[in-house]
Amino acid sequence: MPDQDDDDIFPEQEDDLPETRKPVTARGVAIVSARVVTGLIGVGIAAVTIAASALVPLPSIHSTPPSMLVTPVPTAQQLVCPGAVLRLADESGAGATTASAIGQPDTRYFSSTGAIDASPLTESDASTGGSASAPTVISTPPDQADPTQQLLLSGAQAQSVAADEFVGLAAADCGVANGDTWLAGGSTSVGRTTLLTLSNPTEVPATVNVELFGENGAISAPGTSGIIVPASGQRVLSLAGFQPDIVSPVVHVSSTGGQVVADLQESIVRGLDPGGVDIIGPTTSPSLRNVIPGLLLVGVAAVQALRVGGAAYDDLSTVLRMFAPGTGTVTTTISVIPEDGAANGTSFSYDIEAGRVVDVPIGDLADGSYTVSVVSPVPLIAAARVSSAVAGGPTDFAWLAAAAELTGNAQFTAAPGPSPVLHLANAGTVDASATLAAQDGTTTVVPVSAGSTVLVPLTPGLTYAATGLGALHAAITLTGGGTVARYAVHPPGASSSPVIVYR
Amino acid sequence: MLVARNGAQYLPRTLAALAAQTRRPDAVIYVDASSSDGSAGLLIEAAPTQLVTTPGRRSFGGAIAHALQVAAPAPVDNEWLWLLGHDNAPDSRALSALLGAVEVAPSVAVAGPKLMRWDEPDVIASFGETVTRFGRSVELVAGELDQAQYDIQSDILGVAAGGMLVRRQVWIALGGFDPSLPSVDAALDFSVRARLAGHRVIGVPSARVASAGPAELFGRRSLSAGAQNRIGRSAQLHRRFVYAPPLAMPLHWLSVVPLAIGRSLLHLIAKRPTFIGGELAAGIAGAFDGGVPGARANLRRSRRLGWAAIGALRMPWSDLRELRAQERAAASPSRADSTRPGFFAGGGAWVVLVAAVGSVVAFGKFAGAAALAGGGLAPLSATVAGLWSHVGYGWRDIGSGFVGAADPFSYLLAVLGSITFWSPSFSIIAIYLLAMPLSAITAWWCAARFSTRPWAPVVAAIAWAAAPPLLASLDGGHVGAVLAHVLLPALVLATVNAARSWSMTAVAGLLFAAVAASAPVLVPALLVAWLAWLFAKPRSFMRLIGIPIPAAALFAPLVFQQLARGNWLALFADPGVPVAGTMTPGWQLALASPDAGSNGWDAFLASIGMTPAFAPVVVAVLLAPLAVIALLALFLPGSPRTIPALVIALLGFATAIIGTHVEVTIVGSATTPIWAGSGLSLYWLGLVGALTVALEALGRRAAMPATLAGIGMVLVAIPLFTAAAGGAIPVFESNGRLLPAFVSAEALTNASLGTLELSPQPDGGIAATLHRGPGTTLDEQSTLNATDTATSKADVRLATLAGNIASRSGFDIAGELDALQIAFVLVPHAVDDSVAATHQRVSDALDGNRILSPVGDTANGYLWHYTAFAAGKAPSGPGPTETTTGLGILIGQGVIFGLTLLLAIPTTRRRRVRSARATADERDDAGEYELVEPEDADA
Repeated sequence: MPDQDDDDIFPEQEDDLPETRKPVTARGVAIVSARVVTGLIGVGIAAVTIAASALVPLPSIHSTPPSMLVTPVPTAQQLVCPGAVLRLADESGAGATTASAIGQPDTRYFSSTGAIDASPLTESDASTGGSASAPTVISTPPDQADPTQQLLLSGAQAQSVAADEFVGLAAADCGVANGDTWLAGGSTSVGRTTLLTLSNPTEVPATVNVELFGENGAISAPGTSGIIVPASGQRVLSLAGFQPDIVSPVVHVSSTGGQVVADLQESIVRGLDPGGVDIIGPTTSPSLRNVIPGLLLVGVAAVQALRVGGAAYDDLSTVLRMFAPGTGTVTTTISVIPEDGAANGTSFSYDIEAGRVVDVPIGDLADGSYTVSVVSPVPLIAAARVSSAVAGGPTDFAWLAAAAELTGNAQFTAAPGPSPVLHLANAGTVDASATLAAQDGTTTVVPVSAGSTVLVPLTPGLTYAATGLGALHAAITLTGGGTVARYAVHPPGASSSPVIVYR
Repeated sequence: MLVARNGAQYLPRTLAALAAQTRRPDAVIYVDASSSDGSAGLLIEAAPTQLVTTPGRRSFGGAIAHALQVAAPAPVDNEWLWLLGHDNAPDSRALSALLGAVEVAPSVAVAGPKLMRWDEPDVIASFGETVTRFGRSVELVAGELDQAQYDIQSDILGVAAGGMLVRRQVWIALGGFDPSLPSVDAALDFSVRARLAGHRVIGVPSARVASAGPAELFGRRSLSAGAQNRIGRSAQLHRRFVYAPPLAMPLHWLSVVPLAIGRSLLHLIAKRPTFIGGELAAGIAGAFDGGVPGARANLRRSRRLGWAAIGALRMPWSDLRELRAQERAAASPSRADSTRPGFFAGGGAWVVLVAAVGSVVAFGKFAGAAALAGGGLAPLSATVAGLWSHVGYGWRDIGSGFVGAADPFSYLLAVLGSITFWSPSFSIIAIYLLAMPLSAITAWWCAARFSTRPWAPVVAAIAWAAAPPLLASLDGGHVGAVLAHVLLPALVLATVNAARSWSMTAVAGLLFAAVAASAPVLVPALLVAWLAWLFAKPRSFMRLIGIPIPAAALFAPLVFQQLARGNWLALFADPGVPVAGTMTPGWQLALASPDAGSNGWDAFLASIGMTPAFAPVVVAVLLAPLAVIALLALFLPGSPRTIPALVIALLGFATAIIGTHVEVTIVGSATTPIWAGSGLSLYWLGLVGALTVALEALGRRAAMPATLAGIGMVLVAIPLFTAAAGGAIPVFESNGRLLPAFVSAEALTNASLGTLELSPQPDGGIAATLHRGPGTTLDEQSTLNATDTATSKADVRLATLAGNIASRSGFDIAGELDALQIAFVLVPHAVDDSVAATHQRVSDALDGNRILSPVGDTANGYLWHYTAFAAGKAPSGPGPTETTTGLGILIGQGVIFGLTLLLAIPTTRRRRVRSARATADERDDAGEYELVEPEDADA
């Protein structure tokens, strides 16, 4: 190597004494040239290396993390049906802070195995513990013959109320207890009573924390945290007890320990006129797309006629309630699509302020049913309210929770109320279909093209197993005689779905 | 009587000298001991009275015995034998002097001449031998200029074989030389027996005979130091067995092998590892020496006097000590070296001081912590015994548990934790506090080794202490990379010096093992550099070849297991707690940034309100002086150093690039690349090395470029430094607990108490980890576990439990919790929204489980307690010493490291020698003319 030589010829010390440098010799020139060449080669290698590191894509070697798909051993499926419509104060008007039941609902349920247990919760703030008015826990044990098969269980209840100032139709499905629930709906302004019911079907007490949001933002109130719901018990709390005069509440319920099914119940009295009752089921957790199928408008003309009655009748309007956790302005895109497919839907942008609940009026809709979807850049929750009336008849309203996406199998029960209709919405861009097998053995295949909603009339009280679901959203509406009720179809409880376990 | 074996180069002079004797021998017998060169012809030409050719190679004594048997004239009274080797050219008056001496003293049976060196006739090669109290043979005089200082001495214990004049009857009566002593001590033993038979042995100073070498060299061209020692030791052991009283025989026999081992260790400490093989061979051969009974019988037959007869002639201890002291004095260096910059005078101390202050500013807040956690860190085992129970081959209590080899890093942690034995975790804190100053020290010493002026070492120390890879590794908790960074300059220094010193070989071996254990990804690059150095220094082959041995011993079990899995890339996985990370772009690595954040400048610029996009430009500008000077070094004198330095930089860069493309470490549902920091440390080492050479070559003009480069490198480090000082790093002070206090308290009474950790993963899955007792410590981490892509039965069992416990399930959770001895379930806090849903599902399932009672939110996550827990026996396996494999591995590693440590221990005398040689080496490297390569320092 020439470098070895140049070091021998030019020891380092010489560089410090340039004045005594030897005369330039041919060999010296050769050595300096060799150095220059070495240096240029080195600079070249450095440049090429760095350029290559930045530009040449290298293959990566990845290990595959070892994973095991664990299908949990099926357990007894358990649902809670909300129970009777509740009122504050009893029939005599006494005990204005204590809830009591109005009659009892008609509850139907069915499981894919056939075997089913139903029992009321044993304790309730509404003093219904153990009675038919109490929330009903329905459960079904795993199929002993084939414990790995997916067990589907569903139930629904309907109650037509006509007692004093409580008139209307309330329907709900039976829900899975979980630790985190969002409820959108209700009001605590004058004449509106909104009760929060917390039902704990599990064997351990639940500690519940409630977060309240209103049109002015988060509401901090005493008593919202550390609410103990006993095992197999129900707590009933008035939202007005936390804060009165919330026009647009949104409630976030989270529980630790046992799990609860949380619902809202709203009743409206306008002066002396009953304005309807409803049981408001959970809406989906904050998501980027909320789909609300089954926005059913009946008697729009009669409703419009009532609205001349003044400010108390303002909440007869159809509204979309939205709430985005966090801060900042969120631009949402709201589309309202008629479900009969006859006309094109409308779509518009709406800016909301995160952290506050906003009620967006959706006006000028004719009788019929619609699917509303809300798309937003940040997760938010959404629900809608519709009202119905007939001239000279009762007035009613319903809160429409956003429906979660259904894929694969699901099961739902048509509440035993008037004219149940299934609204199957396909909010995606791919055509889908569903196979509905009724409890009585009839099977229907329902194709749902992209962006459309299909209406399927149901037999009251019957349970339908839906298989082969694409990405669909579903809700069931009931209507008759100026009253309206609606509930969303929920996917089977996620707690028993298979889970990937990594080491 | 002249014996020749392959002595053609000596014979002409010897034969001529023999012919020129003033007192000619009566008869001359030439013995050719099967020479393969021209010796036989030369002997024939000299026309002896008799010429005997021995069948096969014989020793000197054997050849004489054979010749006497086949060719001797009939014995007559008062006949003397003069034994000469082919190299024993006598002075013309030698024989007459010898005969003169024996004639006046009839009791003398053996007389020896004064042996002079063959090529230096004025220097005494040997004149009389004796033994110490322990029976070791000692030359009375060796290598001294003959100034007639020994010419008065006459009665001695033994004489050398060459030139020995012996009475023939005595020779026959004593049976000649002992056949078990082929060379060394044969004549001494004979002389001793002659004395015990009642004769006298004298040295005759006036008889001078040449000698080309000691007895063991007779007929050989050369002999290694180790072989020489083996022959000497064999002879000593043989004599010990022959001379020993019968009662002491069993004691001697039992002690011979242990003594050999003990002496081997002493050789190691004295930096004579080449002696060890011979020492052990001599010991074992001595224990099974078949020549002993015959020799003892011979001795018994001829002995007339007691051992006291020779007592006076043995060498007393005081004389021996004096002799040794003289030898040492002769070997001591006389020249001191002063061309290296001084640590204090050269500014090194200032850099270290500044680095220490910086370190205190950045990491001083950790000083009072019980332990560090976060990033790649976790607390260590609480006791030293715990640390050491996690090395070797045995049960690894991580994940679902398995039997396997410990990471080499666990050994390193055990050593570090043992240093701070009162609180093993404090060793990690100490590393954080000392990393920067220690880096400055190692870099300074390494650079000073190649410098004559203070500039280069000072800049190198600054560069190394403020190196972005070091700070990034510290910030991220990559403690292995930190250790590798601190040790790399020391490894370079030791490896360079290892070419001259056994002690440095051992130090380099230990440092290599430590660096390899800390950052296995560096091993390929370091091995390439080592091979290159091996070829560059072929004369030091024996010293350099051994450097990787300790590392190989550490890694062997792990290598074996990973190869058995077919996952050899996993060998390079980072030890320690696996840290999730992403691939760093190549151009970021070129800026010496192991993370994608341009050495923290992205975040730093954002925090002061500037565009983060400028960050790479800022870093490039600040590092430009370093890059330019490092490349400029190629144009300056010193390229034998610049080119290796830049090749090391290239190797380091390649290591970093390749490492970021190898994702073998598994973190839950993801894989993570190998930390680029260690590769970049090597890259930085090469660049700083080239910078050092350039600054050294620039001489007095180095000030300006050195200042520029130094300021640039210090400025580059600011964001990483301020991040650490501001606490914006993943590493945090831990209270020393790995699990919630509630679990730790329970684990005090039940060390195998299980805690199942369920970490929700972004893809909706969960990662199930099982902790035993107080938790999985840093030293319990295992790359075998972190890189395993297969699922064992135990894994499936644990996963089944985890999957069911995280769901509403009809599974017999209680039974399985009892069987696996799990009393707690821990769900870490959700880190972001991607795991929120899974987190909720898992929490819901656990909350809804009747057999689990929620303990609540803890520092480590949400905790549930299985209250009906029945303490029993947890699945476990053998400890590191409970299997023969495990014990064998530990013993093997222990022996190798023990020997390396002994070899590494500097012995004062040796170190002086070494430093003298090192300077010679440097002169050589610096390119001065050096006619004679310095002698091996230690042999």
